[in-house]
Amino acid sequence: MSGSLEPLQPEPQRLGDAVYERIGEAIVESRLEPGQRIRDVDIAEELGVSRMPVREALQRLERIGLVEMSASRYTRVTEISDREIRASLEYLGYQVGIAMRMAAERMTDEHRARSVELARAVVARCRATEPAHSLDVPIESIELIYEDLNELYAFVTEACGNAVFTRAYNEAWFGLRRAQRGKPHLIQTPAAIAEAFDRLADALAGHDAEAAEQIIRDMFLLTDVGPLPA
Amino acid sequence: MTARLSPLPDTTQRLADAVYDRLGAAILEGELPGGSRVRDAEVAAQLGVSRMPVREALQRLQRIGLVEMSPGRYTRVTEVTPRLARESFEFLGYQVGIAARMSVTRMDDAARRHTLGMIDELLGLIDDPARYDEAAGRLFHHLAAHTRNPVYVGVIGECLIALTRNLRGARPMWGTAAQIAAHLAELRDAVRDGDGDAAERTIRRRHALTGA
Repeated sequence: MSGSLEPLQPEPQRLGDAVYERIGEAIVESRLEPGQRIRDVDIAEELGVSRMPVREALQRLERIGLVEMSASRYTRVTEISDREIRASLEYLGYQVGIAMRMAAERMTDEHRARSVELARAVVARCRATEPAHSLDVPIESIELIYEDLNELYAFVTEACGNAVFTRAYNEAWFGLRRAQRGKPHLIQTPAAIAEAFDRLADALAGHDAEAAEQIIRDMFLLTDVGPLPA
Repeated sequence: MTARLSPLPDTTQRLADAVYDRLGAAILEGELPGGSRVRDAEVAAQLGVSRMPVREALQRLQRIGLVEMSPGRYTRVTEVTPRLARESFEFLGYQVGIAARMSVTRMDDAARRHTLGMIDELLGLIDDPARYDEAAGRLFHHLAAHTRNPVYVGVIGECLIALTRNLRGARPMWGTAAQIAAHLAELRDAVRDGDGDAAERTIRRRHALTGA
Protein backbone atom coordinates (compact mmCIF):
# COMPACT_ATOMS: atom_id res chain seq x y z
CA MET A 1 0.00 0.00 0.00
CA SER A 2 2.71 2.50 0.90
CA GLY A 3 3.27 5.20 -1.66
CA SER A 4 0.26 4.29 -3.84
CA LEU A 5 -1.75 7.26 -2.64
CA GLU A 6 -0.66 10.84 -2.07
CA PRO A 7 -1.93 12.79 0.94
CA LEU A 8 -5.06 14.84 0.45
CA GLN A 9 -5.37 18.45 1.45
CA PRO A 10 -8.47 18.04 3.57
CA GLU A 11 -11.36 20.27 2.59
CA PRO A 12 -14.22 19.64 4.95
CA GLN A 13 -16.80 19.44 2.18
CA ARG A 14 -16.57 16.82 -0.52
CA LEU A 15 -13.82 14.99 1.32
CA GLY A 16 -15.66 11.73 0.76
CA ASP A 17 -15.73 12.39 -2.99
CA ALA A 18 -12.05 13.26 -3.05
CA VAL A 19 -11.13 10.07 -1.21
CA TYR A 20 -13.38 8.06 -3.52
CA GLU A 21 -11.71 9.53 -6.58
CA ARG A 22 -8.22 9.02 -5.21
CA ILE A 23 -8.78 5.35 -4.42
CA GLY A 24 -10.72 4.78 -7.65
CA GLU A 25 -7.87 6.22 -9.71
CA ALA A 26 -5.34 4.08 -7.85
CA ILE A 27 -7.36 0.97 -8.72
CA VAL A 28 -7.89 2.00 -12.35
CA GLU A 29 -4.17 2.66 -12.73
CA SER A 30 -3.30 -0.64 -10.99
CA ARG A 31 -1.36 1.08 -8.22
CA LEU A 32 -3.79 -0.89 -6.11
CA GLU A 33 -3.76 -4.26 -7.81
CA PRO A 34 -6.49 -6.89 -8.14
CA GLY A 35 -6.51 -9.10 -5.08
CA GLN A 36 -4.64 -6.58 -2.98
CA ARG A 37 -5.94 -6.21 0.55
CA ILE A 38 -6.60 -2.69 1.71
CA ARG A 39 -7.14 -1.48 5.23
CA ASP A 40 -9.09 1.68 5.88
CA VAL A 41 -6.67 2.78 8.60
CA ASP A 42 -3.73 2.56 6.18
CA ILE A 43 -5.50 4.58 3.54
CA ALA A 44 -6.70 7.12 6.08
CA GLU A 45 -3.14 7.55 7.24
CA GLU A 46 -1.71 7.88 3.74
CA LEU A 47 -4.28 10.45 2.76
CA GLY A 48 -4.13 12.24 6.08
CA VAL A 49 -7.86 11.96 6.74
CA SER A 50 -10.07 10.21 9.27
CA ARG A 51 -11.45 6.72 8.68
CA MET A 52 -14.97 7.92 8.06
CA PRO A 53 -14.53 9.28 4.51
CA VAL A 54 -12.37 6.25 3.68
CA ARG A 55 -15.09 3.88 4.80
CA GLU A 56 -17.65 5.83 2.81
CA ALA A 57 -15.45 5.69 -0.27
CA LEU A 58 -14.83 1.96 0.07
CA GLN A 59 -18.53 1.22 0.38
CA ARG A 60 -19.19 3.25 -2.71
CA LEU A 61 -16.43 1.44 -4.60
CA GLU A 62 -17.90 -1.84 -3.45
CA ARG A 63 -21.23 -0.95 -5.02
CA ILE A 64 -19.61 -0.46 -8.41
CA GLY A 65 -17.59 -3.65 -7.97
CA LEU A 66 -14.05 -2.26 -7.63
CA VAL A 67 -13.53 -3.63 -4.14
CA GLU A 68 -15.14 -6.39 -2.14
CA MET A 69 -15.61 -6.56 1.60
CA SER A 70 -15.51 -9.91 3.31
CA ALA A 71 -17.58 -10.92 6.29
CA SER A 72 -14.47 -10.71 8.44
CA ARG A 73 -14.44 -7.06 7.44
CA TYR A 74 -11.35 -6.81 5.33
CA THR A 75 -11.47 -5.17 1.97
CA ARG A 76 -9.66 -6.07 -1.19
CA VAL A 77 -9.50 -4.95 -4.78
CA THR A 78 -11.58 -7.25 -6.95
CA GLU A 79 -10.11 -9.32 -9.74
CA ILE A 80 -11.47 -8.27 -13.07
CA SER A 81 -12.73 -11.09 -15.27
CA ASP A 82 -13.36 -11.22 -19.01
CA ARG A 83 -17.03 -11.35 -18.22
CA GLU A 84 -16.89 -8.08 -16.30
CA ILE A 85 -14.88 -6.44 -19.04
CA ARG A 86 -17.46 -7.53 -21.59
CA ALA A 87 -20.34 -6.44 -19.36
CA SER A 88 -18.73 -3.05 -18.76
CA LEU A 89 -18.09 -2.42 -22.43
CA GLU A 90 -21.63 -3.41 -23.29
CA TYR A 91 -22.94 -1.05 -20.63
CA LEU A 92 -20.64 1.74 -21.82
CA GLY A 93 -21.70 1.29 -25.44
CA TYR A 94 -25.40 1.55 -24.61
CA GLN A 95 -24.96 4.57 -22.35
CA VAL A 96 -22.70 6.48 -24.72
CA GLY A 97 -25.12 5.73 -27.53
CA ILE A 98 -28.02 7.13 -25.50
CA ALA A 99 -25.96 10.19 -24.54
CA MET A 100 -25.07 10.84 -28.20
CA ARG A 101 -28.71 10.54 -29.11
CA MET A 102 -29.93 12.99 -26.47
CA ALA A 103 -27.07 15.37 -27.15
CA ALA A 104 -27.55 15.32 -30.93
CA GLU A 105 -31.24 16.11 -30.38
CA ARG A 106 -30.85 19.19 -28.25
CA MET A 107 -27.31 20.39 -27.49
CA THR A 108 -26.72 24.12 -27.61
CA ASP A 109 -24.88 25.33 -30.72
CA GLU A 110 -21.78 25.92 -28.69
CA HIS A 111 -21.81 22.41 -27.19
CA ARG A 112 -22.58 20.94 -30.58
CA ALA A 113 -19.57 22.64 -32.14
CA ARG A 114 -17.35 21.38 -29.33
CA SER A 115 -18.65 17.81 -29.58
CA VAL A 116 -18.01 17.80 -33.33
CA GLU A 117 -14.49 19.05 -32.67
CA LEU A 118 -13.88 16.26 -30.15
CA ALA A 119 -15.22 13.63 -32.55
CA ARG A 120 -12.91 14.98 -35.26
CA ALA A 121 -10.00 14.78 -32.81
CA VAL A 122 -10.71 11.04 -32.47
CA VAL A 123 -10.70 10.76 -36.26
CA ALA A 124 -7.36 12.58 -36.52
CA ARG A 125 -5.84 10.47 -33.76
CA CYS A 126 -6.94 7.21 -35.39
CA ARG A 127 -5.72 8.29 -38.82
CA ALA A 128 -2.31 8.97 -37.28
CA THR A 129 -2.21 5.51 -35.67
CA GLU A 130 -0.24 2.62 -37.16
CA PRO A 131 -1.12 -0.03 -38.12
CA ALA A 132 -4.44 1.41 -39.27
CA HIS A 133 -6.08 -1.81 -40.39
CA SER A 134 -5.24 -4.09 -37.49
CA LEU A 135 -6.37 -4.55 -33.91
CA ASP A 136 -2.79 -5.28 -33.00
CA VAL A 137 -1.88 -1.72 -32.11
CA PRO A 138 0.78 -0.79 -29.51
CA ILE A 139 -0.69 -0.24 -26.04
CA GLU A 140 0.56 3.35 -25.87
CA SER A 141 -1.37 4.17 -29.04
CA ILE A 142 -4.49 2.46 -27.68
CA GLU A 143 -4.26 4.53 -24.51
CA LEU A 144 -4.08 7.73 -26.56
CA ILE A 145 -7.15 6.76 -28.56
CA TYR A 146 -9.02 5.96 -25.34
CA GLU A 147 -8.07 9.34 -23.91
CA ASP A 148 -9.62 11.10 -26.88
CA LEU A 149 -12.68 8.87 -26.84
CA ASN A 150 -13.17 9.41 -23.13
CA GLU A 151 -12.91 13.16 -23.49
CA LEU A 152 -15.68 13.07 -26.09
CA TYR A 153 -17.82 10.71 -23.99
CA ALA A 154 -17.36 12.82 -20.85
CA PHE A 155 -18.32 15.97 -22.73
CA VAL A 156 -21.39 14.50 -24.37
CA THR A 157 -22.67 12.82 -21.21
CA GLU A 158 -22.48 16.23 -19.48
CA ALA A 159 -24.01 18.11 -22.41
CA CYS A 160 -26.88 15.67 -23.02
CA GLY A 161 -29.32 17.79 -21.03
CA ASN A 162 -30.47 15.08 -18.63
CA ALA A 163 -29.00 15.43 -15.14
CA VAL A 164 -30.45 12.07 -14.01
CA PHE A 165 -28.57 10.36 -16.83
CA THR A 166 -25.33 12.25 -16.16
CA ARG A 167 -25.38 11.31 -12.49
CA ALA A 168 -25.91 7.59 -13.16
CA TYR A 169 -23.20 7.58 -15.83
CA ASN A 170 -20.66 9.27 -13.59
CA GLU A 171 -21.30 6.88 -10.74
CA ALA A 172 -20.34 3.93 -12.95
CA TRP A 173 -17.33 5.71 -14.41
CA PHE A 174 -14.45 4.09 -12.50
CA GLY A 175 -15.80 0.66 -13.21
CA LEU A 176 -16.02 1.44 -16.92
CA ARG A 177 -12.60 3.03 -16.99
CA ARG A 178 -11.12 0.02 -15.29
CA ALA A 179 -12.67 -2.31 -17.83
CA GLN A 180 -11.10 -0.28 -20.64
CA ARG A 181 -7.71 -0.67 -19.01
CA GLY A 182 -8.06 -4.21 -17.73
CA LYS A 183 -6.75 -5.58 -20.99
CA PRO A 184 -6.23 -2.56 -23.20
CA HIS A 185 -7.48 -3.52 -26.62
CA LEU A 186 -9.43 -1.99 -29.44
CA ILE A 187 -12.84 -3.26 -30.41
CA GLN A 188 -12.39 -1.89 -33.93
CA THR A 189 -9.33 -1.06 -36.03
CA PRO A 190 -8.09 2.56 -36.04
CA ALA A 191 -9.25 2.89 -39.64
CA ALA A 192 -12.75 1.69 -38.73
CA ILE A 193 -12.96 4.04 -35.74
CA ALA A 194 -11.81 6.95 -37.91
CA GLU A 195 -14.47 6.17 -40.48
CA ALA A 196 -17.21 5.79 -37.83
CA PHE A 197 -16.33 8.94 -35.92
CA ASP A 198 -16.14 10.93 -39.11
CA ARG A 199 -19.79 9.97 -39.66
CA LEU A 200 -20.51 10.61 -35.99
CA ALA A 201 -19.18 14.16 -36.28
CA ASP A 202 -21.53 14.71 -39.23
CA ALA A 203 -24.46 13.22 -37.32
CA LEU A 204 -23.81 15.46 -34.31
CA ALA A 205 -23.45 18.53 -36.52
CA GLY A 206 -26.61 17.62 -38.41
CA HIS A 207 -28.86 16.90 -35.38
CA ASP A 208 -29.15 13.29 -36.55
CA ALA A 209 -29.84 11.60 -33.20
CA GLU A 210 -30.77 8.23 -34.66
CA ALA A 211 -27.55 7.95 -36.68
CA ALA A 212 -25.38 9.16 -33.80
CA GLU A 213 -26.68 6.41 -31.51
CA GLN A 214 -26.48 3.73 -34.20
CA ILE A 215 -22.85 4.58 -35.02
CA ILE A 216 -21.90 4.10 -31.37
CA ARG A 217 -23.81 0.83 -31.09
CA ASP A 218 -22.09 -0.47 -34.21
CA MET A 219 -18.72 0.60 -32.84
CA PHE A 220 -19.31 -1.33 -29.62
CA LEU A 221 -20.57 -4.36 -31.58
CA LEU A 222 -24.06 -4.02 -30.11
CA THR A 223 -25.94 -4.24 -33.39
CA ASP A 224 -26.86 -7.77 -32.40
CA VAL A 225 -27.20 -8.80 -28.78
CA GLY A 226 -24.57 -11.45 -28.23
CA PRO A 227 -24.19 -13.71 -25.21
CA LEU A 228 -22.01 -12.61 -22.32
CA PRO A 229 -19.32 -15.14 -21.34
CA ALA A 230 -20.40 -17.32 -18.40
CA MET B 1 -38.89 14.33 11.85
CA THR B 2 -40.31 13.17 15.18
CA ALA B 3 -40.91 9.43 15.45
CA ARG B 4 -41.22 8.83 11.73
CA LEU B 5 -38.50 6.23 11.89
CA SER B 6 -38.51 3.24 14.20
CA PRO B 7 -35.22 1.96 15.69
CA LEU B 8 -33.09 -0.43 13.67
CA PRO B 9 -32.27 -3.92 14.87
CA ASP B 10 -28.82 -4.08 16.36
CA THR B 11 -26.71 -5.57 13.58
CA THR B 12 -23.28 -4.19 12.96
CA GLN B 13 -23.17 -5.40 9.39
CA ARG B 14 -24.12 -2.93 6.73
CA LEU B 15 -25.67 -0.50 9.15
CA ALA B 16 -25.27 2.31 6.65
CA ASP B 17 -27.21 0.24 4.09
CA ALA B 18 -29.99 -0.33 6.58
CA VAL B 19 -30.17 3.40 7.36
CA TYR B 20 -30.18 4.13 3.64
CA ASP B 21 -33.07 1.71 3.08
CA ARG B 22 -35.00 3.18 5.98
CA LEU B 23 -34.53 6.80 4.93
CA GLY B 24 -35.13 5.94 1.28
CA ALA B 25 -38.41 4.23 2.17
CA ALA B 26 -39.46 7.22 4.28
CA ILE B 27 -38.82 9.55 1.33
CA LEU B 28 -40.50 7.18 -1.12
CA GLU B 29 -43.61 6.83 1.00
CA GLY B 30 -43.89 10.57 1.53
CA GLU B 31 -43.21 10.44 5.26
CA LEU B 32 -40.31 12.71 4.42
CA PRO B 33 -41.79 14.92 1.69
CA GLY B 34 -39.81 17.24 -0.59
CA GLY B 35 -38.35 20.15 1.33
CA SER B 36 -38.20 18.38 4.73
CA ARG B 37 -35.05 18.96 6.65
CA VAL B 38 -33.14 15.92 7.81
CA ARG B 39 -30.81 16.25 10.79
CA ASP B 40 -28.29 13.45 11.07
CA ALA B 41 -28.21 13.62 14.87
CA GLU B 42 -31.99 13.24 15.04
CA VAL B 43 -32.06 10.35 12.60
CA ALA B 44 -29.23 8.67 14.50
CA ALA B 45 -31.12 9.04 17.79
CA GLN B 46 -34.37 7.72 16.30
CA LEU B 47 -32.72 4.72 14.73
CA GLY B 48 -30.48 4.08 17.71
CA VAL B 49 -27.25 4.24 15.71
CA SER B 50 -24.21 6.50 15.61
CA ARG B 51 -24.02 9.45 13.23
CA MET B 52 -21.49 7.77 10.95
CA PRO B 53 -23.83 5.37 9.14
CA VAL B 54 -26.41 8.14 8.93
CA ARG B 55 -23.92 10.42 7.22
CA GLU B 56 -22.94 7.64 4.84
CA ALA B 57 -26.58 6.99 4.01
CA LEU B 58 -27.30 10.68 3.43
CA GLN B 59 -24.35 11.04 1.08
CA ARG B 60 -25.55 8.07 -0.89
CA LEU B 61 -29.05 9.56 -1.05
CA GLN B 62 -27.49 12.81 -2.20
CA ARG B 63 -25.71 11.07 -5.04
CA ILE B 64 -28.96 9.71 -6.40
CA GLY B 65 -30.57 13.12 -5.95
CA LEU B 66 -33.06 12.33 -3.19
CA VAL B 67 -31.52 14.75 -0.70
CA GLU B 68 -29.44 17.87 -1.14
CA MET B 69 -27.00 19.51 1.18
CA SER B 70 -27.16 23.26 1.36
CA PRO B 71 -24.11 25.49 1.65
CA GLY B 72 -25.14 26.06 5.27
CA ARG B 73 -24.59 22.32 5.65
CA TYR B 74 -28.06 21.26 6.39
CA THR B 75 -29.69 18.45 4.50
CA ARG B 76 -33.14 18.36 3.04
CA VAL B 77 -35.22 16.16 0.82
CA THR B 78 -35.26 17.42 -2.79
CA GLU B 79 -38.47 18.59 -4.42
CA VAL B 80 -39.68 16.78 -7.53
CA THR B 81 -39.69 19.57 -10.09
CA PRO B 82 -41.40 19.10 -13.47
CA ARG B 83 -37.93 19.03 -15.01
CA LEU B 84 -36.75 16.28 -12.68
CA ALA B 85 -39.86 14.22 -13.42
CA ARG B 86 -39.33 14.69 -17.17
CA GLU B 87 -35.67 13.73 -17.02
CA SER B 88 -36.45 10.69 -14.88
CA PHE B 89 -39.12 9.60 -17.34
CA GLU B 90 -36.72 9.93 -20.25
CA PHE B 91 -33.92 8.16 -18.38
CA LEU B 92 -36.23 5.32 -17.37
CA GLY B 93 -37.43 4.88 -20.93
CA TYR B 94 -33.91 4.48 -22.27
CA GLN B 95 -32.84 2.16 -19.46
CA VAL B 96 -35.90 -0.10 -19.63
CA GLY B 97 -35.45 -0.12 -23.39
CA ILE B 98 -31.91 -1.50 -23.24
CA ALA B 99 -32.87 -3.92 -20.46
CA ALA B 100 -35.59 -5.27 -22.74
CA ARG B 101 -33.23 -5.44 -25.70
CA MET B 102 -30.61 -7.41 -23.79
CA SER B 103 -32.93 -9.63 -21.78
CA VAL B 104 -35.48 -10.54 -24.44
CA THR B 105 -32.64 -11.86 -26.58
CA ARG B 106 -30.85 -13.67 -23.74
CA MET B 107 -33.63 -15.24 -21.69
CA ASP B 108 -34.37 -18.97 -21.85
CA ASP B 109 -37.80 -20.44 -22.55
CA ALA B 110 -38.84 -20.67 -18.91
CA ALA B 111 -37.94 -17.03 -18.29
CA ARG B 112 -39.75 -16.06 -21.48
CA ARG B 113 -42.94 -17.78 -20.35
CA HIS B 114 -42.61 -16.08 -17.00
CA THR B 115 -42.17 -12.70 -18.71
CA LEU B 116 -45.26 -13.24 -20.86
CA GLY B 117 -47.21 -14.09 -17.71
CA MET B 118 -46.07 -10.85 -16.10
CA ILE B 119 -47.17 -8.84 -19.12
CA ASP B 120 -50.57 -10.56 -19.07
CA GLU B 121 -50.88 -9.67 -15.41
CA LEU B 122 -50.17 -6.02 -16.27
CA LEU B 123 -52.84 -6.08 -18.96
CA GLY B 124 -55.34 -7.05 -16.28
CA LEU B 125 -54.29 -4.24 -13.95
CA ILE B 126 -54.55 -1.22 -16.23
CA ASP B 127 -57.54 0.09 -14.28
CA ASP B 128 -55.83 -0.33 -10.93
CA PRO B 129 -52.92 2.15 -10.96
CA ALA B 130 -51.37 1.23 -7.61
CA ARG B 131 -51.20 -2.48 -8.35
CA TYR B 132 -50.20 -1.79 -11.95
CA ASP B 133 -47.20 0.26 -10.77
CA GLU B 134 -46.11 -2.52 -8.45
CA ALA B 135 -46.39 -5.15 -11.15
CA ALA B 136 -44.60 -2.90 -13.65
CA GLY B 137 -41.78 -2.49 -11.14
CA ARG B 138 -41.53 -6.27 -10.81
CA LEU B 139 -41.39 -6.67 -14.58
CA PHE B 140 -38.55 -4.16 -14.79
CA HIS B 141 -36.62 -6.01 -12.06
CA HIS B 142 -37.17 -9.25 -13.92
CA LEU B 143 -35.95 -7.82 -17.24
CA ALA B 144 -32.94 -6.19 -15.56
CA ALA B 145 -31.94 -9.50 -13.95
CA HIS B 146 -32.14 -11.26 -17.31
CA THR B 147 -29.81 -8.78 -19.01
CA ARG B 148 -27.13 -10.89 -17.29
CA ASN B 149 -25.09 -7.71 -17.18
CA PRO B 150 -23.95 -7.09 -13.58
CA VAL B 151 -22.84 -3.53 -14.34
CA TYR B 152 -26.29 -2.65 -15.62
CA VAL B 153 -27.97 -4.35 -12.66
CA GLY B 154 -25.72 -2.52 -10.18
CA VAL B 155 -26.22 0.95 -11.62
CA ILE B 156 -29.94 0.65 -12.20
CA GLY B 157 -30.44 -0.87 -8.74
CA GLU B 158 -28.93 2.24 -7.24
CA CYS B 159 -31.15 4.60 -9.30
CA LEU B 160 -34.44 2.79 -8.90
CA ILE B 161 -35.59 4.28 -5.64
CA ALA B 162 -35.03 7.83 -6.90
CA LEU B 163 -36.79 7.09 -10.18
CA THR B 164 -39.77 5.65 -8.34
CA ARG B 165 -40.05 8.73 -6.16
CA ASN B 166 -39.55 11.16 -9.04
CA LEU B 167 -42.20 9.50 -11.19
CA ARG B 168 -44.83 9.14 -8.53
CA GLY B 169 -47.70 11.32 -9.62
CA ALA B 170 -46.44 11.40 -13.19
CA ARG B 171 -49.28 9.18 -14.36
CA PRO B 172 -50.48 11.51 -17.15
CA MET B 173 -47.17 10.92 -18.94
CA TRP B 174 -48.05 7.26 -19.31
CA GLY B 175 -51.01 7.84 -21.64
CA THR B 176 -54.54 6.47 -21.81
CA ALA B 177 -55.63 2.94 -20.91
CA ALA B 178 -55.98 2.12 -24.61
CA GLN B 179 -52.45 3.32 -25.32
CA ILE B 180 -51.08 1.27 -22.42
CA ALA B 181 -52.90 -1.84 -23.63
CA ALA B 182 -51.61 -1.37 -27.19
CA HIS B 183 -48.08 -0.98 -25.91
CA LEU B 184 -48.27 -4.08 -23.75
CA ALA B 185 -49.58 -6.10 -26.70
CA GLU B 186 -46.59 -5.01 -28.79
CA LEU B 187 -44.20 -5.76 -25.97
CA ARG B 188 -45.77 -9.17 -25.54
CA ASP B 189 -45.24 -10.00 -29.22
CA ALA B 190 -41.62 -8.85 -29.05
CA VAL B 191 -40.95 -11.00 -25.98
CA ARG B 192 -42.67 -14.01 -27.54
CA ASP B 193 -40.59 -13.63 -30.73
CA GLY B 194 -37.35 -12.96 -28.86
CA ASP B 195 -37.08 -9.69 -30.79
CA GLY B 196 -34.98 -7.35 -28.63
CA ASP B 197 -35.04 -4.51 -31.14
CA ALA B 198 -38.84 -4.55 -31.33
CA ALA B 199 -39.06 -4.64 -27.52
CA GLU B 200 -36.79 -1.63 -27.22
CA ARG B 201 -38.64 0.25 -29.94
CA THR B 202 -42.03 -0.13 -28.30
CA ILE B 203 -40.65 0.96 -24.93
CA ARG B 204 -39.02 4.02 -26.45
CA ARG B 205 -42.23 4.96 -28.24
CA ARG B 206 -44.01 4.64 -24.95
CA HIS B 207 -41.61 7.12 -23.39
CA ALA B 208 -41.91 9.46 -26.39
CA LEU B 209 -38.27 8.93 -27.24
CA THR B 210 -38.52 8.26 -30.94
CA GLY B 211 -37.87 11.42 -32.87
CA ALA B 212 -39.69 14.73 -32.85
